[in-house]
Order: sequence, then C-alpha cells, then structure tokens
Amino acid sequence: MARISAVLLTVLFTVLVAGSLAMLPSTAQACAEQDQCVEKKQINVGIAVGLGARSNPVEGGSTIPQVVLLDLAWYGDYAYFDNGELGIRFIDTQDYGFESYLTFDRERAFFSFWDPANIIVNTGSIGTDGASDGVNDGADDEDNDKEPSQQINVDNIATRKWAALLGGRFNYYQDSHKYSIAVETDLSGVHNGQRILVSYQKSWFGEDWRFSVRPSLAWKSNNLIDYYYGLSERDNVDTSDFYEGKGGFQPGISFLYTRKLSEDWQLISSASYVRLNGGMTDSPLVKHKQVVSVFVGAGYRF
Amino acid sequence: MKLKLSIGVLLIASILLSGHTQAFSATQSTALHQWLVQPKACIVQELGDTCELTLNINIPPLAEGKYCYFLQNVKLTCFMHDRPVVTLQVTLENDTLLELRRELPTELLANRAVKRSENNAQTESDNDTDNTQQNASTQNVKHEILYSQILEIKTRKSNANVRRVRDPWSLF
Repeated sequence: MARISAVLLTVLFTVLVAGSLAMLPSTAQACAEQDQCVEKKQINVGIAVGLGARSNPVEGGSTIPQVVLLDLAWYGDYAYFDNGELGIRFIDTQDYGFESYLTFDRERAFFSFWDPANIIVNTGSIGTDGASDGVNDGADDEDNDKEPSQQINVDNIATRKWAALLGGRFNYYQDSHKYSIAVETDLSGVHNGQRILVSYQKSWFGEDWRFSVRPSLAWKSNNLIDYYYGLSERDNVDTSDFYEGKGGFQPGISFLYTRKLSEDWQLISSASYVRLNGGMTDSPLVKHKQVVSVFVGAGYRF
Repeated sequence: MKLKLSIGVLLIASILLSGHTQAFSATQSTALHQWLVQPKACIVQELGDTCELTLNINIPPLAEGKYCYFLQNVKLTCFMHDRPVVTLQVTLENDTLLELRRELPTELLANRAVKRSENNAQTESDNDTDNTQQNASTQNVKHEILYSQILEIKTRKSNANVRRVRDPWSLF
C-alpha cells in the first residue's frame, strides 16, 4: 500500500514538475466551441434550475434532490478557477493542455446533505466524487443484497472530513474528441489517499445544441476508500462490523445534452452511472453497488 | 472675523471660477474652428456586427466651392461651402475612413497642370505646393482631401477566449 502511494506521488510530482518546466508562453489556441469557451479575465456565471437527484450509496443516506446547478469560471493568462477547481494552466495549445490544481474531495458529499456537491450536480465528470451520482436509492434495489444494520448509519458514525486535493491533469484534444488523465493526491493529510481518473469524451455539435458522451475509469487508493467507507473504533460500532476499505477501479459513463433556447437561456440535461468497486461496496456502510444521477433543467448565463 | 474670511473665500472662488470659465470659452472657441467628428467609435457586441452611427461634424470655415464626404472612398453626399452638412448617418462593419474632400474647379485643375509641368522643368524635387493636404486625386483629379477621421469599431466581447478545462455546469 505504502509502495503504491509512493509510486503515485512520484508520478504526480514528475507530472507537475514536467508541467512547470514546460511553462512557456503557450500558443493561445482558438476556442471554437462556444459552450466550452469563456472570455479571459471575466467572471462567468451561470445558474440552472430544474429537477434532478442522485443516489447515495451510504447506509442511512437518502436520495439527494438536486434542483440548482451553478457554473462559475474565471480564467486569467495562466491561473483559473473553474467550478470548485483552482489551478494553473501550464500548457494550453490547440491539441493538448496540462494544468495543476487544488480541489476538494467530493467523496465527502455522501456524508453531509448540505455539502455543496449535494445541491449542485456535476454534469461533466463522473464517479463517486460527487460528480454524478444517482437516483437509484429504492429499498427494492436489486443490488441491495445486504441487510441494513440498525447501528451502522451515516448519522451515527464518526464525521468524515473533507480533504484538499492537489492534482495534475493532461488533456489531449482531437476534433470533437477529448482524452484526459488526472492524478490527485490528498494534500491535507485527511486520508492521504490518491485517485487517478482516465476519461474519454466525444461530443456532437449542432447549430444550437451539444451532446457529449464520456466513459471513464477511476482508480481510488486504499487510504481514500478506507477513510470514507471503512469502519473502525472511531465509529463506535460493534467490532464485528469493523471493515477495512480497499481501493479499486470504478468504471462509469456520463451523458450531457445542452440546447440553446435563447441568447441567455439553455436546456441542460445530464445523466450518469458509476459502478463502485468491491472494496467499497463490501463495507457495511455501503448499501448500493452503483451511483446514478439525472438532471433536467433550464440554465441562465449572466 | 468670520465675515472677512467668508468674503476672502468668495473672492478666491470667483477668481478661480472666472479663470476656469475663460479657459473653457477659449477651448470651446478653438473647438468650433476645428475639424471634429463625434462620435469617433461605435461599440458592437461582436466583431462583424453592423453599427449605425449618426455623426455630428464640426467643419472649420470653408473657402468657396463644393465639398463632398467620402466613406472609404465612396461618395456619400456633397454640399456647397455656405450650406455645410454637419450630420451624417453611416453604417459600419469595420474601421472606416471618413473624408471631407473639396471638388476642384476645372480651371484650378488646368492651372495646376501647367504649374506642375513648369516645376518639373526646373527641378525634380520641388513638387506640388499643396502637399500639406494630401492630394487624393492622383487617380481621380476632381477632389482633394481636406480632412479625415477614422471611425473605429470596438467589440464588447474581446476575442481572448479560452477553452475551459472542465465542462460547463460542473461545479462540485
């Protein structure tokens, strides 16, 4: 475990250093896709209201309604803030880009309803990182093959803290295809875990609409899974329920459809599905093997 | 004591105000005798959008004759020196040059032709004495440019767009 973490940290460090060394006056690339572009040095704000929900795989956690979506972005020459991510773009060319960033671990969203990730759905990325989760929370869920414990509940276990993550992401663009790999590590020392997310996105564009499909594969480390979904002395549960979370792979897919309704309004609809890894779902704290999310609404851009 | 102070303040204020008024009058008087086009720029939402402008033009005293406005070398309207046109309606898409040209009388053109041939015989370097006002009639000898002004198009949206690293609507 320690060896894997060390390797990951080395990879992350190497990627960050490589990015820093490559911090050249990168060629400003033309941004043709209106939906994906923002004006530099301007605060770009959008708000969407609609109907949506996502499932909560944690025992005792109820389906989370999602009615508001925020879109907040600011880009300078290098620095940027984009929907909860504060970073620096070291490279940004027509074909590829590399950025390093600070963000927070969205895994915590399942443990606190008023976490921002619970009222604001991520239509763009997937995973149990609060990005796109699901509505599949019914009691007759066929994946719900474990008897819910009377004691083990999100409300009566130890508080899970949020963690600050340091990440590096490499993007490769080819026409309407986008390939990404992101490596993140806990900077705050909350769980000392890591995550790697590999994704591919294909987009289709019409005159006033865009449709994207994004399959992805996330790898989460033992430390990360164990901190959030493991059970131990800290949780004040019966020793027979103690569980050590194990990392693994979580495949997923997400869909996003946007259609321009007027100059300022647009229709937004999204859906996503993530299959959780066994090292997480075997925990008595986890009741579902997948996370599903849907959202349909109207967005206004200021 | 207070009364003296008040009078003093009033005196100083009056002096300053009168000086300012005089300066303003002088500036205004000078402005009236200058070629001035207002507005000089038009703001559009995006580059490529058309822009309609009503121009208010201040023309210095003109010599007897006929004058014409040209917008990017296209004649707009003409007027006689004693009935100047001081308002123009124009439509722009790009930065555009507005010119006020004087229509040269036929006899003046003939005189110039004679003068030019005389000058050429004397020296090659001693050219047309009207060089201070660019002669635009190299090809079209009927007009000479008196005044010009570039009308600028400015865009509200700059072209400095950048590709987002995250998808839109993906906060948290």
